[in-house]
Amino acid sequence: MYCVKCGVELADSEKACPLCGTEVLLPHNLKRDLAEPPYPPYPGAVTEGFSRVGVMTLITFLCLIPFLLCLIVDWKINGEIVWSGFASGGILLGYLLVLLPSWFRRPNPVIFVPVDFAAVGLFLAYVNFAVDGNWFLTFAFPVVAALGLWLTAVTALLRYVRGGKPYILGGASLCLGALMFPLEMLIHYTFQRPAILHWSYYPGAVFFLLGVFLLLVGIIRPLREHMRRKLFF
Amino acid sequence: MKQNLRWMRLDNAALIYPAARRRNWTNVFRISVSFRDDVDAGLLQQALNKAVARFPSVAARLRTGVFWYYLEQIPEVPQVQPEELHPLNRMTFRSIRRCAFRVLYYRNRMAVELFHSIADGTGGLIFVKSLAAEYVRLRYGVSVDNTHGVLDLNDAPQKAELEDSFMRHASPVALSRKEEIAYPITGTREPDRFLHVTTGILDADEVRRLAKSYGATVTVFLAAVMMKAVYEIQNERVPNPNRRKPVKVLIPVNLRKLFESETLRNFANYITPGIDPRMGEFSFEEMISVIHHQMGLELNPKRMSAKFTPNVRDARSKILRIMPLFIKNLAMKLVYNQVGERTASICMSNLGLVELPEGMTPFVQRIDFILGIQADSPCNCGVCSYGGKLRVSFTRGIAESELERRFFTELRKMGLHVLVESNTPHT
Repeated sequence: MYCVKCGVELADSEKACPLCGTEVLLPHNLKRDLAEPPYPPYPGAVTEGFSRVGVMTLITFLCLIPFLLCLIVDWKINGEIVWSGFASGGILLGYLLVLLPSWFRRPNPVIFVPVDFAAVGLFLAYVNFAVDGNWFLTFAFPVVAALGLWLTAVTALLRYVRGGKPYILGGASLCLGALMFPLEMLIHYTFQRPAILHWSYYPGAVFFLLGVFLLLVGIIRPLREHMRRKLFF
Repeated sequence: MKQNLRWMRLDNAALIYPAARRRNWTNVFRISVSFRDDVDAGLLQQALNKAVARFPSVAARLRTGVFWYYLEQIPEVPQVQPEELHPLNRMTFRSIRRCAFRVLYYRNRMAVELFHSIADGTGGLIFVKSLAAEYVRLRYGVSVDNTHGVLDLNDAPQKAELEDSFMRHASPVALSRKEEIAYPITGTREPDRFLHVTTGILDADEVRRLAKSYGATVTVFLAAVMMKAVYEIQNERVPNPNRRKPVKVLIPVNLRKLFESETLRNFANYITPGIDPRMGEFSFEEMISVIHHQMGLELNPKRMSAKFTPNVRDARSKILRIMPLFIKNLAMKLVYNQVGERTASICMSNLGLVELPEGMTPFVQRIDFILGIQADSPCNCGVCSYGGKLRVSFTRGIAESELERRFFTELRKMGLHVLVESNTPHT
C-alpha cells in the first residue's frame, strides 16, 4: 500500500503513514490484513528510582555533622556537656522520629510509634535531670506513656483488625477525651496549683461528642454510607 | 572468592558519555540482525557466552573511580532478553554499572544495544557480526569463515584491539573546538519518553546511481537531502531570513580509515558541514557541493588528528587529572550542555555497506543501525546498507514527524522507491 500524500510505500504492518499520519485509503471491496509489527508493543516508560539505602546513608552523614559539631564545640569551650546535650539530643530525636522509618521499605507503625514515644520520653527525662526540673516523674512520664499506649493501641487495631474503623476511632476519641481530666490534674499537681478542673471539660466534651458520633456512624448503616459518599477522596 | 577482574581506562572519546548522561538519558546505539527464522534464545545465549571472552572491551561494565570512570570486565555473561520495550529503551546508569550492553531478541531479530563508552559503530558492528556468525554456526550447523569483520572467537583478544587510538595519533597542533551554533529541530516531547523509530528502506544501487549523477557519494547525497529537509523546516518556522541559523549536519567519521588502527573501542570523530541561510537561498546542488567540499577539506589524517587533539590534551593535563571525578563531571556536563549538541541540527551516521562472510548471508535477512536520540536534540538518524537495501532509521523523541516526512518525500520526488515502516502503535 502507498501513502496517498507522501507517495512512499508503507510496510504491511503500518495502519497509517508514519510520516504524515494519513490513514491508508483502500478502494472498495479491498481488504487489508495488517502484518505483525516490526517492534513489540510499548507497555510504558521505565523510570530509574533512587537507591534508598544510598540516600539514607547520605542523609545520616549530613545529620551527623551538626550532631558532632555541637558536642565538640561545647566540649572545647566549656570542658563539659552544657548545652550541646539539648541540641544534639534534639537532632537525634528528630532523626529517630522522621528518618529512621525511611530506612525500611515498609516501616511498621506498630513498632515505630512506641519507639518514638520511648525516645521522646528519654529525651524529656534527660532535659528534666539536666535542668533539675521536677516535672518528669509526675507529669512528662505519665503523659508520654499514656499517649504512647493510646496511639500504639489505635495504630495496632487499625492495622490488624479488618473493618470496624468507626468503632476503633470512636473508642479512641472517647479515651482521649477521658485522658484530658487526669492530664489537667497532673499539671495542677506538678506545678502546685489548686486541684480544680478548669479547662479539661472543653476538649473532653469535644472528643466525647466526636467519639459518640463515630460510634453512631459505625452503628447506623445509612449514615455510614452517606459519610463515605461525602468524604471519599 | 572475588575474581581478579580485568579493567581498563575509558578511551578518550568515551569519557564524555558517562559525564553527559542525565536522569532520563544515556547515549546508546543499536545494531540488529534479522535472521531467516525465529531466534533460538538458548543458542543465542551460547553464542554470547563464547563471544564475550573475545571482546573484553565490549563485555564490560562502567565503574566509578575517584578520578575517572573505568571499564571493568563483567563477572558473568548477561542473559539474552526478549525485547519487550521500544528499541533503545533507556539504559539506566544502574544497569550500565552491571553491564554496558544488552542482547535482545524479538521474533527473527537479534539486537545488541551498546552504551557508547564501550564501542563506536564500527567496533560494535564487529562484535555483532561475530556474535551473529557464531549463532548461525550453532543454529544452522554451517561453517562461517572469519572474514569480512567476523573475528575468530577462539583467538585471544589482541592488544591492538583494546588500545586507545586517540592517544597514539594525537597531533602536535590542537584545533579550536569552537563552532557556530546550528538551528535545532524542536517539537513536543513525548510525555512517556516513547522513542519513535521510522525506517525507510531504499534500493542501495538506485541511491548510489542517483548520488553519482550529482557527483557525490551516498553519505554526501543523503546528508544533503537531510540538510534540505532541515533547511526547509527552518524557512517555514523562522520567516525572517535574518533570524535564521546555520543548518548543519553532523557526520561521524570512522578514523580507522584514516589512521592505522585495529581498535574495537571508540575511534571516531565527526565533521559538521553546513550552510548559512542568511547568505541567501541554497539549491540542492549547492548543498551537495558545500558538503562535498567541506568533507574534502576536513577528511584527512592531519586535520582530523588536530581536531581530536584538544580532548587528548585535556585528558593528559596534570591539573585536570587530579581533579576528583565529580568536579570533572560537572565541568564536562557543563561543556556538553553548552556546546555538545548545539553545533549541529541533526546527526546522520552512516555505517556504510555491511558485508558478511558468504556462509552466513543466506541466513541473514537484514541489518539495522539505530541511534538513540541525544539529550536535547530530539532526532537522530542511522544509515546502513546490507543485501542491496539501504536502511535509513530515524529515531525521534517528539511527536512531530516533520523531518522524516520531508526527508523521505524528497527522495520520493527524486524518483526513488521508499518503503517505510515504524514502531508507531496502532490505535
